[in-house]
Amino acid sequence: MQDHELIEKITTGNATAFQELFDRYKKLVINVCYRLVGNRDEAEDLTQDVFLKIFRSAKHFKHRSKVSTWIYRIAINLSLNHLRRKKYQQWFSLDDNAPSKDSVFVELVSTDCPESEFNAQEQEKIVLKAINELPADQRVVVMLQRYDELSGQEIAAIVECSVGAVQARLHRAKKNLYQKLLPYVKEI
Amino acid sequence: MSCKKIKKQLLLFLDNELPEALHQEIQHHLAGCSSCSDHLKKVASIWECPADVETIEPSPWLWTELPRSYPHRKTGRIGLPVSGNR
Repeated sequence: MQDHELIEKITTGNATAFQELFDRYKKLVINVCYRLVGNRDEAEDLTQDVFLKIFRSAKHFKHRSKVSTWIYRIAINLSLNHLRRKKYQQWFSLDDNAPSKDSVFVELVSTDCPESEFNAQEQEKIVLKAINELPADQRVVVMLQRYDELSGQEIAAIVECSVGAVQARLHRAKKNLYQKLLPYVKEI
Repeated sequence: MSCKKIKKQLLLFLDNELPEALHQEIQHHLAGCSSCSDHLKKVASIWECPADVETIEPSPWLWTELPRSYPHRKTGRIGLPVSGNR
C-alpha cells in the first residue's frame, strides 16, 4: 500500500494502517531525531511525539508533498524545538549542563587525543560533532545531505525553502565546517 | 586565488558543489601547489571517510508505549480508550 493511502486510512480510523506507517518510518524518524539531539532516550521520546503528531495531523495532510517529506519535517521541527527548550531550561539549571552519559556528543568530546589513530567511525564522529556545532538551519541541511543522502530538491521540500536557499546554506555550512575541522586536519 | 582562499572551499570542492569555473581554477591550483594538495588529502581523509555514523534501532516497546489515544489495537479504531471496547 502506498504512503498516501495509509494516511487516508489513518484519517478514517484504521489502526492497521497507522501501525504500517509506524513500522515503515520508525527507523528513519528515530535516527533523524538521534542525530539532531544526540541522545537515545530523547530520540525515542521524540519518535513517539512525531507519531503522535502524525496521527493528530493526518487529516490536515494535503497530499501536495511526499509523505516521507512531511514526516522528515515533523521529526526535524520537533527535535529542534526540543533542543531549544532544553537550552532554555539549562539556563536555569547549571547541574543539567553536563551532557547525559549516552550522548553521542560525549563520546565525541572525549576523543581529544590528537595522536591517537582514528578509525573511520571515530573520524565520522568528529565530523558529526562539528556538524552539531553549526547553526540549526545549516546543521539540518548538512545532515540531510550527508546522512540521508537527499538531493537539494528533496531537502528544499523538507525545510520549505528554495533549492537555491538550500545550496546557500550548504555553502555557508561547509565553510564553517572547514574551520571546525581544521584543528583535526592539522593533527594528521 | 590565494592558498588561504582555496583551502576554505575544499569541502565544497570535494563535494563537487562549486561552479564549474571555480572548480577548475582550484583543480589547476592544486596541480601546482603541493602544500594545498597535501592539505586536500588530509581534509578528504576526514570528510570523505564512510559516513557510517551510528544508527539506532527503535526499542521493541516503542509501539506498545504509544499513548492510549493512538489506534486501539483490539478494536482497530483510532482514539478509543482501552476500556471502551464493548
